[in-house]
Amino acid sequence: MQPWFPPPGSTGAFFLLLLLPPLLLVPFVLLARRRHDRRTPPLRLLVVAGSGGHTTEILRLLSCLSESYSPRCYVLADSDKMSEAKIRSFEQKRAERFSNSQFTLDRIPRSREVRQSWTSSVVTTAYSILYSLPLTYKLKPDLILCNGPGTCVPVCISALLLGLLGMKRAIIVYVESICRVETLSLSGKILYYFSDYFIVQWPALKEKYPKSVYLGRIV
Amino acid sequence: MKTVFVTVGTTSFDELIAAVSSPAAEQVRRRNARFGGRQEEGPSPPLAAGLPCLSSAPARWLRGRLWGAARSCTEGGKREPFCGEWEAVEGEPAVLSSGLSPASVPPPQVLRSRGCRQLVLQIGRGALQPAPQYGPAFVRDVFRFKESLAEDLRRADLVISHAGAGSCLETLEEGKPLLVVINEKLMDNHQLELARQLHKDGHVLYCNCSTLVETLQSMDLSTLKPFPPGQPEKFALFLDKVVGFE
Repeated sequence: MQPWFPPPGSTGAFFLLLLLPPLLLVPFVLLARRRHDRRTPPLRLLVVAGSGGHTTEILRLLSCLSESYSPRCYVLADSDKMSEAKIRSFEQKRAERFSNSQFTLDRIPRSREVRQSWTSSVVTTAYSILYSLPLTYKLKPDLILCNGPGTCVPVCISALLLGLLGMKRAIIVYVESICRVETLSLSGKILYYFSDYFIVQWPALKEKYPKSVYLGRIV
Repeated sequence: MKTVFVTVGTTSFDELIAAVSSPAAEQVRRRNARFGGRQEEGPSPPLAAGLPCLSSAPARWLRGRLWGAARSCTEGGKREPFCGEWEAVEGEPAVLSSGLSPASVPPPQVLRSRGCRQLVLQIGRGALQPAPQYGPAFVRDVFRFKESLAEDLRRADLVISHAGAGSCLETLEEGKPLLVVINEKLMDNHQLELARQLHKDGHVLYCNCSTLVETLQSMDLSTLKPFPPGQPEKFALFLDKVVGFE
């Protein structure tokens, strides 16, 4: 019998090995997400902002939230230029309404560019997870809100790991984009199993994904 | 339909920009700064031959523009990219860089026949950057990004947009007629789902670049229904309930 050699591309193998321990913890994470405690205000909110329409949608979701969701910690991909301007404009208007309005802005490496191949996405996502662990630890959010950009997967996975290690148990709320009428995005397909609340905006998705929540069109 | 606004959001959608700004319809002459304003009718770009699917006028123009850049320059023996500007010249025959003449009716002519006098192009990250035009009968504005498109949307009588959620929603909320053009190059083309649903509900017209002309020719904007706003307050109530703020 031939000895087993590592397959070619040992860098890829190294990253896969890096992902293996967190993946083995998945069953425990899924069991641990059954219930969470009532929270008292104020709630630290981590908002994952994506490019283009994602940011517009998520700012609309935030528009009706009360003062109890503060501070809002925005996490953006480092290659995203437009979202920062939109967020600052939104927060400025909010500061006119609420005196104690606070927010922060942090950047992480983008886990996947549009049209990036799936195989290289695994490597870049693994790197983003390692990068977002210290950030999530620093921010210690009570609630994480995201709506689909690739950036949200590493942030949510790092929050799950922190919860598992007993450091901070964040509620993960995922709102699928309004563009998704019949199928979920890749982030949605992953986070459907890892989020506490998975919200869809079209009835066809509610039928396909029964664990999701349908509130109608909310953006 | 005096003012038409074309938007691609933060994306790159050269095919749409090429389709609505094909200079053939506006009777243009290409001016090559290198050759001092002479008209150029070179041979067809090598890759253009044998590709029957790329036979429409806008596609030929785009091919010529992209591959024309690779043609070598004879002056000084150096290989330099072609850089030319399109300029509207009344009464002269249209010339494309590939040397071929347009056959079908290009979109800008269709727009003009429906009363369009101002065309505003928001080209995003696209490589294709048509030159602006300022004439008594027709104006073409071109820009990449603005902090807010609200003013351009308000001034438009028709919006032609890619299928991005932000672009579609902002337009529908301004109450403007919207024609959504699908970008077939996107991976898994999920944008088609939203356009199809909005079209099913009667809020938008939709097409792709190859059917743009016939859609523009035959569209009836009065059939579009108003778009009711979304309700983010429902999300706020839901969130308050699940975190226990009651």
